[in-house]
Amino acid sequence: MSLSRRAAREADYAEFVADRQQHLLRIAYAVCGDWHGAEDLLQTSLVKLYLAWHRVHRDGREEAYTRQIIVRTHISDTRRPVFKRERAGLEGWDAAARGDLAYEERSALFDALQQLPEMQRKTVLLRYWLGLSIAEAAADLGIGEGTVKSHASRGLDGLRTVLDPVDAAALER
Amino acid sequence: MNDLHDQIDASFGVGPTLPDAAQRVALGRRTQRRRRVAAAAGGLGVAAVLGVTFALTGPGGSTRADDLVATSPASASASPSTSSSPSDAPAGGWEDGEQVRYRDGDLEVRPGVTVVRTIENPYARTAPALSRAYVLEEDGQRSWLIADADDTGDLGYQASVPMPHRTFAEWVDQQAEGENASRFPATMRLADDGSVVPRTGVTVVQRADGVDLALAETGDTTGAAIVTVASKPGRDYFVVWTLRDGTLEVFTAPPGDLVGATFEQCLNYARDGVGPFHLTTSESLPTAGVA
Repeated sequence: MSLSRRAAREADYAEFVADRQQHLLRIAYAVCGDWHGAEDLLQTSLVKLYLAWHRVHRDGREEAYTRQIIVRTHISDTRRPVFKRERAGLEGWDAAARGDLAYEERSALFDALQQLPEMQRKTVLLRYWLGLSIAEAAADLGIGEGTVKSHASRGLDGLRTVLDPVDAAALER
Repeated sequence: MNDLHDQIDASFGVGPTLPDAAQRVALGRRTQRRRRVAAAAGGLGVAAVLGVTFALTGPGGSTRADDLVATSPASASASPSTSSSPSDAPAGGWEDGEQVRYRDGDLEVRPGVTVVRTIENPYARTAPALSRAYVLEEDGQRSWLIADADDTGDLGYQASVPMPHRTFAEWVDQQAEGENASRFPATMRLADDGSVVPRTGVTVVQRADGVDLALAETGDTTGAAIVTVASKPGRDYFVVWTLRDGTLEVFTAPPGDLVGATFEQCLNYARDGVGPFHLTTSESLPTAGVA
C-alpha cells in the first residue's frame, strides 16, 4: 500500500516532531526563559516548518531551520517589547502574572544565563550548548562572525562566577 | 560532566509534556489551507498568521474562499446544496478543515465536530457582532478556537492546539487581552490655548513634555504620559503625542509591551522607537482660533 505524497510528507513531519519537539522546546526555553513563551515559540516554529517542510526536508535542514525560527522569532519579539523582562516600577501593571512553574528546575548557571544580555545569552547557547560553529551561530542570529566572537567572549565572562572551576579554567586558555 | 555543554544541558529541566505530533500536523494543515485562501484573496484582507491562525469568511456563510477561489469546481454555487463537483468538494459548503462558520446571525459548528466547551463573547462584542471561544474535538483531536464576527458577518478566528500548561480559559483571556489592546481609549486632547490636556475621565499619573520621540519630526511639540482612564479601570496606558502645524496626534503603546516598565523606561522605549505605537486620535486646532 503506498501513501499519497501528502500523507508521506505529513508522516515524515510527524516523525520529526515526535522525535525532536521536546528538545526544540528546551531550546526555546533556554532562549526565552519561561515555558509559556517557549511553547508559543515552538508552536510558531513548527507551523512554519510544516509549511516549508518539502523544501527543508529535502535539504535535511529540519532542525536547523526550526532552531533558527525559534531564535529569530525571539529576537524579533524582544526587540519590540523591550521591557517585558523588567520587574520594577509602575504600580498597577501586572508584572507578576507569570510565576515560575512548579516543575521547573533550573540551576544557578541557568539563572546566570538568563541574566546575560539577550544576544550574549543566545550566542553562548548556540556556540557552547548546541555546538554551532561561529559561522552557523552568525547565520542563526543574523549578525557578523566578529560580533558572535565578541558576544561569546563577554557572555562567558558573565558566567564565570557560576561555572564549574574546570570550565572556568578552560576559558582562560 | 565538566564540559560546558553538559553543564548547560543539566542546568534546566526537560519541560512539560507536549501535544502529540498529530495535533501539530492538523494545525499545520489548517494554516496551509488558510494561506492558500489568503494567496487567492490577494489584497482583500484575508490573512494567515503563523502559530495563531486567522481567517475570514464572508457574510451569510458564504466563505470568502468560495468567492475568491473561482477556479475551484466546488465554488461556483448558486445552488450549493446540489453540488456535483468532484469528490474533494466541500460537503455542505464546508471548506476542508473549516470547523466554525457564520450563518444567519450566529456561529455554526460543522457537523461531526464536537463542542466540548464554549466561552461566550470573550471579545465583548456588541450585537449584532459576536464572539465565542470553543474547545472543539474532531477525529480525536482537540483544538481551541475563538470565532469573532463583526456586524457585517465577516468572521475572523484564532486557533491553537491545547497547550499543556495553559488552560483554555487562560488562553482565551490572553487572546482577548491582545484583541482589546488594539482598541485604545482617547486620552489627551488639544485645549483652546493649544496646550495638550487630559480628556474627561483621564488622569495623568506621570507626564513629561518636550521628550525625544522616534516618531516626531524636528520642530514638533512633543509629550508623553502614563494615564489611567475611568472607563478602563485597573489599566494604565503609556501615550505619546506630537503637535505639528496645529494638529495633535496621540499614540498609545500596547500595555502588554510595557509590563513592569518604569516611566523612564517607557520614555526610552518611545525615544528609540523599538516598539509599535498606535495612532489613537488626531485632531487639529480650529483655524479661526489661530488669528
